[in-house]
Amino acid sequence: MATTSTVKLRSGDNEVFEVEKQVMIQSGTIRNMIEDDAADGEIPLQISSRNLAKVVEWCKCMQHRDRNNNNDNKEEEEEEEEWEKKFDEEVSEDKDLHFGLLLAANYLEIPALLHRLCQLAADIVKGKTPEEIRRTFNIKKDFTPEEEEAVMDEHGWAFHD
Amino acid sequence: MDQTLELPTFIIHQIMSYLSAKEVARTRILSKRWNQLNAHSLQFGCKLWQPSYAISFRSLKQITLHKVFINDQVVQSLICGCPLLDDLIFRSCFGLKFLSISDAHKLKILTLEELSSEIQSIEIVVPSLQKLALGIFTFGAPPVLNVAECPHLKKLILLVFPLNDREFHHLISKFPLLEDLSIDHFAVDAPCLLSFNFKHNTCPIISTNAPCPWNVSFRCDGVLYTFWFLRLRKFLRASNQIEMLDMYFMSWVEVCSYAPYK
Repeated sequence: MATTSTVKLRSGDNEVFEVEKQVMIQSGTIRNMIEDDAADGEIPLQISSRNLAKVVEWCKCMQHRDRNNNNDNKEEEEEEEEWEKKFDEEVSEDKDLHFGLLLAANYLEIPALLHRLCQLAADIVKGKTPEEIRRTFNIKKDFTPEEEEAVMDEHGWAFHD
Repeated sequence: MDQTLELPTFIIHQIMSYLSAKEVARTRILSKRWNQLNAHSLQFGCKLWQPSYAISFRSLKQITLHKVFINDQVVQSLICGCPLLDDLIFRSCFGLKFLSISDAHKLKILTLEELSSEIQSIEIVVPSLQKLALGIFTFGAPPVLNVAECPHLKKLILLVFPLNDREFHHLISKFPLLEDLSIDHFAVDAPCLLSFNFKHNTCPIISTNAPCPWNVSFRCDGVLYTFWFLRLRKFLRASNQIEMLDMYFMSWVEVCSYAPYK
């Protein structure tokens, strides 16, 4: 089969995304498939179309940015910054999207995206009380009162300023 | 539902790496899992990419890197970013040519296991080091080893590490406090050796040049498995110096025939 310049990604809910290979080589998983000539057909991915669309969008933006790194186009630069800011906000406000993308970035092996998402998660945790963090991530406190006391005894220092 | 349960451990650790030690410690109180995630031992998955970012785990005490591409720079940034590290393990790692470990003031245990043969030199300047395990896959020249600056070493384990008699004694002489020496599968090149006693439950293989009579004793208390016998076979085939062979087995499973070696 003739080698094309695009790859077709099929989401878990059967939506097909056709993306330039140049964009998707940011993903270690896809890059390996391209290198092994295993990317000519559709690549089925266990990622929802909503999350996959976001990943593709992010990859496009990053590739665009890297390509334009050398020319000083102020306007485009601002546009990209604006896009990233919007991406950060959208992810931080939408937990399902955030966790879905974390898993997708891990699955697709996109270190830069994974780091960004981890950093955003850390920003969410920062400055929150344990109860607020639990509420944010639906974490269930499963300690017995004795266990909780033991943890507090040992790590109470972290709760004092 | 608790979505953090879906995240692989190393992602949570990645998130923690962006928090201060205090903020990380506070997450202990969230739930049992988060308390465990805080335990000092972190195990990376096989997805450690070349860290262009700074590694920083200020309270981490143990790291195991397994089948990871590393280079000297990665090692340096690990050591700088983890000042409390007391147990460092590189297992089946590749990419490393010159390993230099210094400024690791708390490091007590260092394990270099199945390092690939690319390694050319190993320099360990860690006065606090108490236990060192060395194992390298190599068929060519062994790496240059400099471990003179570890005077407090108590336990030395030589897995696959080619040394001749003189080098071996030279190495041992650097550790006046050595209490425990353990040699696993190894290559011996000691043509003047007068006696060679070997007692272990794993079979040594690879070249053995020690033309004295050998007393070899194997003791296998655990489960016998085919690989063990294959190694035994290879060892026995290569060893015509054995004067006394003592084998002791606890379990009875016939894995291969001993007939040719009776």
